[in-house]
Amino acid sequence: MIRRLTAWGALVVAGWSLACSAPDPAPEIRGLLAQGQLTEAYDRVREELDRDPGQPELQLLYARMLVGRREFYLAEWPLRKAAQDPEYESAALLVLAQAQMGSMNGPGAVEVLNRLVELEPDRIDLLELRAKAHLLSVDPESALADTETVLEREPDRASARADRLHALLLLERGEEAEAALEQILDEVMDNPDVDEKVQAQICAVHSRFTLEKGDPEGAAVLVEECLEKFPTQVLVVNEAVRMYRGKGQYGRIGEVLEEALERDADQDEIRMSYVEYLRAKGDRETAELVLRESIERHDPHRVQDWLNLYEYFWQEEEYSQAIEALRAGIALRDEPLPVDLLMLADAYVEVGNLDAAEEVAQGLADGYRNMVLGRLSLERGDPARARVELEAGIRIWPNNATARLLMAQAAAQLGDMEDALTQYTEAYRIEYGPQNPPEKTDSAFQVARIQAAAGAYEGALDFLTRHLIDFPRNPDALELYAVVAQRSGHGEKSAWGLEQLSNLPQQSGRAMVLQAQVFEWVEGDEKALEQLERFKIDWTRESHRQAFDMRLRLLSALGRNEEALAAVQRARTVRPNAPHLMVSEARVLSAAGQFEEARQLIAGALDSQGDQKAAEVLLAAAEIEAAAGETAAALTLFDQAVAADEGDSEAAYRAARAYSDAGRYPEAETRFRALLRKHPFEFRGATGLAEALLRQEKDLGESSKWAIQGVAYRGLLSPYDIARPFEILAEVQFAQGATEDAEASRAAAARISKALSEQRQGRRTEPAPGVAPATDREEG
Amino acid sequence: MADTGGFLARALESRWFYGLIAVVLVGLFVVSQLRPADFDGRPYGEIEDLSTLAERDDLNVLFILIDTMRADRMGLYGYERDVSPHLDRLASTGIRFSQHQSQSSWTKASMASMWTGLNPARTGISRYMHSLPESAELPSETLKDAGFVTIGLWRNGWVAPNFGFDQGFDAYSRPVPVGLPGQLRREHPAATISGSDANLVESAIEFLRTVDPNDRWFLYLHTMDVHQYVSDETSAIFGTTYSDFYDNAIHWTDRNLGRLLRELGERGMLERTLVVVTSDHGEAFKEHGREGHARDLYGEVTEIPLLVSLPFKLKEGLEVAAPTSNIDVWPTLFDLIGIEGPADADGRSLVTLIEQSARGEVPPPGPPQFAQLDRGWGRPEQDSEPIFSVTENGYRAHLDPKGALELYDLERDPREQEDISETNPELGAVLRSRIEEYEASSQIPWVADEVELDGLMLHQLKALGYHLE
Repeated sequence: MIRRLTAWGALVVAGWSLACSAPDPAPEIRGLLAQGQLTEAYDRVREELDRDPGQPELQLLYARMLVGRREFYLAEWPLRKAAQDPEYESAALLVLAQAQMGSMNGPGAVEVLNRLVELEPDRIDLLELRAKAHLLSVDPESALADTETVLEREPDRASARADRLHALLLLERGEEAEAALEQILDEVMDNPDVDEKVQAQICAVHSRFTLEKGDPEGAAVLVEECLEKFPTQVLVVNEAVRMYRGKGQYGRIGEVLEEALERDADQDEIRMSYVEYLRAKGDRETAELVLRESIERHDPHRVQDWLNLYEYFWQEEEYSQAIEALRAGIALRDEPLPVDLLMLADAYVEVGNLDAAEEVAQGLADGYRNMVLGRLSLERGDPARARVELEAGIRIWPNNATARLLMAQAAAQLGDMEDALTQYTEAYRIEYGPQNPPEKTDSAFQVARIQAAAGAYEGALDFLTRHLIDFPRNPDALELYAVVAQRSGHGEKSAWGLEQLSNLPQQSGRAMVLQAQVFEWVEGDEKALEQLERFKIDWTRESHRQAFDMRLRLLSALGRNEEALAAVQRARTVRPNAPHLMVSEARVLSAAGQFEEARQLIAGALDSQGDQKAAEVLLAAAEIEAAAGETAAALTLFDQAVAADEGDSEAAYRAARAYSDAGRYPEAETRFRALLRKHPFEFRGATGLAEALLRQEKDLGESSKWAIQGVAYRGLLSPYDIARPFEILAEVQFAQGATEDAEASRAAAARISKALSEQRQGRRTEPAPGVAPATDREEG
Repeated sequence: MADTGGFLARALESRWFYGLIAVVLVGLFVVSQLRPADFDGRPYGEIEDLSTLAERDDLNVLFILIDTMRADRMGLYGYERDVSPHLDRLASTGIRFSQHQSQSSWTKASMASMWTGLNPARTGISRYMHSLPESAELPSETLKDAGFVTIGLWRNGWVAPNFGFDQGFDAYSRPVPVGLPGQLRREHPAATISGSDANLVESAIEFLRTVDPNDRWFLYLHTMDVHQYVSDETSAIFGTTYSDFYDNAIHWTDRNLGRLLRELGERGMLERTLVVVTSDHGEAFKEHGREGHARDLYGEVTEIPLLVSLPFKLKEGLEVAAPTSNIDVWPTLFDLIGIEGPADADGRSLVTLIEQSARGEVPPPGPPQFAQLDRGWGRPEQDSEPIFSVTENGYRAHLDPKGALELYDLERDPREQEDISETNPELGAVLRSRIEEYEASSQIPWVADEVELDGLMLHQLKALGYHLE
C-alpha cells in the first residue's frame, strides 16, 4: 500500500515538475505562423493564454494575430495585459494605438499615444501617429500642434506636411493651407520617389482647393494640367468630371472619359462613368459596346463585367438581355451567390417566366426563397399564399422595402387595409430612414391613399408632401393632394396642388375638372358650369377632353341639351371623324333620349378607332344601352370594355355595378371580387361586393366585413356615393340582427342624403358630407 | 445470463432496438440544446447572507445595461413570449424589482441620473450638448479608488467619453468591428448599425480572459441591439411588425448575454460576481400615439427592469414589489459591497427593502419617484421644454411645459389610458405641488459642461434613429 502511494506521489511530483518546466510555447507558435498555419497558431496561443494569461509576449503575439484578422476591438485586452509588463509596454501600446485607429476610435488612440509619447518622447513617428489620431478625433488644433513639432524636428517629413495641410483645412485657415499645399506641390510633383497616384491625388486636391477658394477659372486650368500629367488616374478624372458637370460642359466630360479609357482600358471605374455618361446622353448603342468591350478584353471573362452588363440592361428595362448577361456572369462563379439568384428570379418575373423564377428560388436559402415565392404568388394571383411567403421572408429580412410593398399589395388584395397601411408605412420608414436607398418607391403615396380614403386627411397630406419631394411631377399624387387639401379645408394648399398639376404636360384639363367638381359638389351644377366656362377649354387638345365632356354633361344635366349638342357638333365640323367627339356627341344624344342616333355615332367611333381606345367607346356604348333599357346588351358591352382595358378601374366598377343593378348578383360578385383584387383602393367595390353577397344570402360575416370597409374607407368618394355604404351596412346589420347598429347606420345614410339634397337645392350653406369629412366622420 | 444474452442478441437483430437508441440519442441532443448545461456553480444562500457580501474582498460587479429595454417585454416580468430565457433563469435565483422606473426616457439624461444617484433636475444633463463635468462623482471613480479594474464597453453615442461618462474607467471602449457578419443585416428600419452586441460580448469575454484572477473588476456593458432592433436569422422568430422586431432583438440580446454568463460560470467567476441588469428607458409602440422613446414619460418608456443576481443562488427568486428608481441602483450596490458612495444622492439603498420583501413584510410607502425630459433636448436653438412625471402611492401625474396635468391610477389603469385629473382635482393638486417642489428645491451641485458635437458625432447619433438639429 505504502509502496503504491509512494509510486503515485512520485508520478505527481514528476508531472508537476514537467508542468513547471514547460517549454516556452512562443517559438512553437511562431513556427506555426511561419508555416502559414494561422488557425493552428491562433488556437494554440489561445489555449496557452487560457492556461496562463500572465505571458506578455504571448499576449502581444495573440493581439497581433487579432489585428491581422482585423478584429481590432478584441486586440485591446491582450494588448492592455501585455502593456502591464514594462518590457512590452511600448510595443503593446503601439499596436493598441493602431488597433484603436483601425476601429476608427480616434480618442481611444490619442489616449494610448499620450502614454506612449510620455514613455518615448523622442520618437517622431509616435507624434506623427498621434497627429493622425487627433485628425481622426476631429481635433485639428491638437493635430496641428503635433505636426508642427514633428516638422520642427524633421522639416522634410512629407507625410507630416500632408497631415498639417489636413489640419489647416479643417481649421479653415485658408491662406496657411494654401501655402502648405504649395510647399507640398513643390516637393512632391517633380519628385520621382513619390508614387504617381499620390502626385495625382495632390494635383486633384490643388484644383479642388482653388475651386473652393472661389477661382473656377484657375481650377479649370489646374484640372486640365492634372489631366495632361495623369490622364488615367481615377481621382483626377473624377475631379475633372465633377468640375465640368458643375459648369454644364457635358461634351468635355465625354472627351475626358473617352480619352482616359482609350489610354488605359483597365480602369473599370472610368469605364462605368463613361457608360453612365453615354446612357444619360441617350447613346445606348455605344454604352453597350463599351460594356461588352470590357467582357471581351479579359480571358477568362470576369463576373463583374457580366454583372455590369446585366445592370445596364436592367436599367434599360431590357429584361431578356439582362437575364442572358446575368446567367453568363453566374456561370463563371463556382457557386452562385444568393443575391445573384435573387436578381435572376426577379428578372424572370419581369419577363413573365414565372416557372423559371420558381426554379431559381428553389436554390435559395430560407428568407430569400420566401421573398421570391411571395412575389411569384402575387403575380399568380394568390395573395394569401404571397402573404405567408413574404411574412416568412420579412421575418428575417425586415428592412426590405420592396418586400414590404409586395406584402402591402397582398394585404390590400385580401381586403386587409389595416395591414396594407402598416406594410406601406414600414416600407416608407425603411426608405426614408438614415440608410435610405437612393431610389424611392411610391410607398408614401400609397400610405396617403389609404389614409385619405380613411378620412385621415392631415396624415395623408403629410405623406403626400414627403412623396412630392421625391416625385414632384406625379400627377396622381398632385391630384390627391389637391383633393385632400380641399376636403380638409386647406384652400391654399389645394390651389397649390392644382397649379402644380395644371403646369404638368397633358394635365391642365384634369386640373380644370377637379376645380369644377368641387363647385359641382358644393354649389351645384350651375356654379360648376360657370367655373368650368372660366377656363379656356380647348376641345382640340387631348388633355382637355375630360373638361370638355364635363361641360357637355353639366349642360345636359341643366336641361341645356341643345347647347351641349351645338357645342359638340361645332367641334365635329372641324374634326368630323374624331372618335372621342363622336362618343361625346353620343352621350349628349343619349341624355336627350335619342338612343338610335347615339348608337350610330358609337358604331362610327368604333369603326374609325383602333383597338387602343376601344375600351372607352365600349363603355360609352354600354352606358347608352343601359340608359335605353337594353340591359343584356349593356352588360355584354360592359364586359367587353373591361376586357379591352383591364387597368381601367372605373370601367370594371361600372360593369360590376351594372350586373348588380340588373339583379344578377353571382356575376356581380365575381366582378366585384376581380375589381378588388386588381384595384384594392376602389372602395365602392367593397360596398358592391357586400351587397352582392347579401342579396345572395351568402356568408353574412364576409358581407359585413366588406360593408364595414366600404364605410370606413369612404373618404375619397364623391358626396353622391357616400350614403350608399351606410345603406348597405344597415341592411347587413339588420340581417345580422344588430338592430341598434343598423338603425344608426340607416340614420347616418339619411342624414347624408338629406344634407346633400339641401345643399343641391341651395338650402344648406356648409358643404355636404364627404366634402367636409369631419362632420361626416362624426356622423359615421 | 444466457437469457440475457439471448435478449441482447435478439435486440441487436431488431431494427426497433436501433430505432430506440436513435430516439434516445436525438432526445438527449435536443434536451442538451434546449436546456443550457448547468455552468452556474454558485452555492445556495439566503437573503440573510447579503450582509456578508460587504466583507468580501473578491467581489466583482458586472453591470449590464440593456438600452431601450421595457420591463413588460421580458419573461421575468411576465411577458408571454419566450424572449429572454437566460435572463429569466438568472432572475429565478436572484432579486427582481417589479416596479422599477428610470428617471428619463432619453439615454443621456437617464444615465446621468443613474450613475450619480441624482434626479435629473439635479444633474443638469437635459440637452444634447450637456456633458457631465469632472466634479460629478461616478461609481466608476469610487470603485477605481477602491482598487477595482474599471472597464466600460458601450455602443450608444449618448454615453460617449465627450459627454463625461468615461470618468473613472481604466478603459472605456466602443467595440467597432470591421464589417458585419452576413446573417446580421437586419435592423431597425430607422437606424443604422455598426457592430452588434455580439461584438460587445466578445470584447467582454476577451477582457475576462486577460484579467488577473486576483484583481477585482467592475465591467459596465451597455448593449444597443434592442434599441436598434437587431437580430439574426435564428433569433428573428416573432413576426414582422415593428413590435415583433423589438422582441426578436431582445431574444438576440438575451442569447448574447447568455454567452457571457456561461463564460463567467465556466471560469468560476459567477461565485465572485454581482450581476446587475437594468435599462435606461423603455420603448413605446403607440400606446400614447407615439413610437420610440425620448418624447414623453409614460410607463412604456420609463418602466424598466432591475435584476440583481448575487454571488450565491436564492432557492427561489425574490420579487421586490415596491416602487424603486434607477437613482437607487448605485446606493444599493455600494451598500451591498460595503463601499461608501457619494453622500448626497437622491437615491436610497434598497437593501432594507430587499430584506423586508424576503420576510414577506409590506414595505412602507417609499419616496415619490420623479422622471423628467426636456422635449427640446435635440434642438439646441429651442428653449427648454421640460416635462415631468411623479409616481406616488399608486398614482402617476404628468406635467407638461404649459402646466397641463394628467393623472392616472396605476393600480386600476397601469397602461395610463384614462386621465382622471378632472375627477380627482385634489389628488392632482397634491402631485402637481410635488413636482413643483421637486423642481424648485433641486440644486445642481455643479455646472454641466457643454460640448460641441462635430459632424461625425452628430452623424453617429442620428444613425441611432434620433432626430437632431
